Order: sequence, then structure tokens, then C-alpha cells
Amino acid sequence: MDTRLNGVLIDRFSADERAGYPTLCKGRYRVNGELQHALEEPTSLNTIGLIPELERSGITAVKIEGRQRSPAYTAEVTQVWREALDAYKDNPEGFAPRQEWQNALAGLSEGCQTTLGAYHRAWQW
Amino acid sequence: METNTMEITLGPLQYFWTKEQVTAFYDDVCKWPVDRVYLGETVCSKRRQLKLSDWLEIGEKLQAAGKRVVLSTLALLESASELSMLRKICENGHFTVEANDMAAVQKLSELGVPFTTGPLFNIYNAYTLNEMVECGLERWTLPLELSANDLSTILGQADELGLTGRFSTEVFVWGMMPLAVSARCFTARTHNLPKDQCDFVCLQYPDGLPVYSQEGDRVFTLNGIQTQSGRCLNLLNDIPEMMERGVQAVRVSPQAEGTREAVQVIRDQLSEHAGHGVINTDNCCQGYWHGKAGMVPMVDITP
Repeated sequence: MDTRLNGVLIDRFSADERAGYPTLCKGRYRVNGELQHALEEPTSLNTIGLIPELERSGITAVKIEGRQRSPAYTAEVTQVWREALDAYKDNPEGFAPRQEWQNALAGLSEGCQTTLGAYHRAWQW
Repeated sequence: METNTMEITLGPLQYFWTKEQVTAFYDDVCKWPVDRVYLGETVCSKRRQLKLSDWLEIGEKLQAAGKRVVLSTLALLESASELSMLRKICENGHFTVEANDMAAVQKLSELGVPFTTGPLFNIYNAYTLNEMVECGLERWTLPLELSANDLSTILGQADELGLTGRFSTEVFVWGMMPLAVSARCFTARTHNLPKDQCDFVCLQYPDGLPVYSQEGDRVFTLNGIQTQSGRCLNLLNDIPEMMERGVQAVRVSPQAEGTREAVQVIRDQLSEHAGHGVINTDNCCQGYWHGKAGMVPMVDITP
């Protein structure tokens, strides 16, 4: 399968390959002679393990992406997060992300990969 | 404002060159037929081959050669140290400043000094322009993705708001188009290096790092945290129309090659002399001026 924008080839997938979202920033291009995701990997942000830290830093709401995603995707992700937030509320001290949540989210993620994104890094002052 | 004069400006150097390369380049620029030169680092604060004092020294030389000099600021500020550098640039007290984000506008308006905005600064209508003029804007650069018709709409609206004569308009006409800035560094990424230990790999790419589609189309150019067009914008044939539409300055953006030639072709055109300037039009595009997809290639150029 080819994905194109205005005729320009953004990415090309073999039959058994999971396709990333057809956006410019997630395409595979040739740079210095090598084919690569030059701008972004097709991975999804998953910060479910950070719920205690998010709560401690004063976050009172989380946003689940919906744009460019299907209702089924959004429903499943929202359900997992609801469960996780409720589990945290019931027992903040004993909170740990459950494997079933991680599996459910990983199954929905682009390329089956999740990342902590910028939360990996310490902020620079 | 006069309509029969058109200023040629040289935009800020977008790439990371060694201090020797930068110094030699601007020594040369002293002899070029440009009216105004923008100086300084606009892309990445880790590029410290030149200190602010070095840029000011280059500015003095250019000024002595009869050029108007403007200091440009970073397009994306991410740390307190960058904010502190921004303050020093805004408070330099000698050269005017090109603001490339709202932090710079804030600082310059507090200081009460007039400023210019660069092509990445979002001004899409005359109401915004009006706000900015109130803050001290005396010149703006048309955002790259706007067309000739968009420009005329904005200038018409500005006229209705009574702004005519209170600002000048500059249009980016030649060079790789800066399309986006990110908090992430794509050149470091290509080298599998983290942004904060990048080994300054941008020094290896004085004209940026080309990105091709799997079918060999040149789609982008990576320049650190900046994504540029894959083709060089070339609107040199459209300058007479720009004058008619009320543009007072055209900007050439420094590339490792062909910059002097582009300036010369424009100067020849403006002085209506049969020029000696010849420009390479391989891998050029027409950008958004004509209201089409920005990467549409130049088919024919007859300077």
C-alpha cells in the first residue's frame, strides 16, 4: 500500500506490515542514503504509568486524542484510562499500571509501540 | 511611501556554519548590492560558533559598508538562558531587531523600540498587523504560506484600518523556505544522537540535509529543529508584481551556494540594466505566492 499527499509518496507498506497514519511527519524517507522515519516514529504516547506524578503535579484532567482516530479506538482508550484513574483514586499508594491495560493500549498503538515521549526527559532551566 | 524603490534584504543565515565561514561570508556581503542584512542565530541556541559580540562586530562592518543591519531572534525559545540572550539582543541599543516570536515582541514593546517580524511570525490579517503596529512593528515579512492575493487582501484591510504608511512589507523571494520549527532536532535524529548531545552535526550540512521520498522526489530539507522546503523558493520573476502590490522589500535567504547570484539578478532587474547575473534554477519551486502547492517546481525562469 502506498500513501501519498498531492501525488508525493509519503510511505509504502508491504502486505503484512502495520501501516502508520498517513501524515507527512510519519512517512519514511531517504536521508543520507538510508530509508528512515526522518521526522517521527509511528508510536503512540502512553503516560498511564505517570498517573501518580501527574496527580501530584496538580493535573486534574487528561485528554484522550480523538482527532484522526476512530470512535472504536477512542472508546477503548477512554475505557482503559477511566479504569486506571479510578484504580488510582481507590488506592493511590498501591497504584501500578496493570498488564491488561498496557496490552490493550499497545494493541491500539501505531506500530504496537508506545512511548513516554518528552516525559522521559528532565526539563532544562 | 515610495512605490518605485524596492529594497533588497539578506535574511538571517539559517544554517550552522563555522565562525570562519560566517565571517568570510559577511566580509563578502559588504560588497554585495543589498540594502539590509539580518544577522544572528534564529534556529538553535546550541549553535555558538559566534557570540553576540561577534555578530555585533559583523554588524559594524556591514554598517560601515552602507548596509542597514538588523539582529534576528530565535524562532523557538525553550529555556531561561535563551530568554536571557533574547533580552541582550533586544537591549543592544544600536541595531533594530527582527522578532521571530511573541517573547521578542513583548520585550521590544516594553523597551519601546520599533521592530520587524520575520517570515515565521504569524500575521494573517490586518487586525493582527494593527495590534503589532501598536506594539512597535515598523515592518513585517509576509508568512511564506500566503499568496499574492492574500497579501493584497491584508494590505487592503490595513488601509481601511488607517495603517497605510505606518509599516513596510517584505517578501521572502529566494532560498529554502523555513516551514516549521519543532522542539525536536531532526538532524541529530538522523545521526541517532540525542538533541542535547548532538555533536553539532549540523556543521556537516552547510545547505541543510536533503530528504527524498522513496521515489526520489526531494521533499524536505532538515536543518536542526527546523524543517525546510526541499526546493529553493525562486520568485525573482514576480518582483515587478510585488512592487505593484505594495511590497517595499524582497528578502534573499543565505544558502551555501547561489546567494550572491540571486542578489545580483534582482539588482539587475530593479536597475533595469541588462544584467550579468545568472542564476541556477535546478531544484527551484514557486512556493505559495501563486496560491498553489508550495513545492510546485519552477519550469521556466528567464531573469
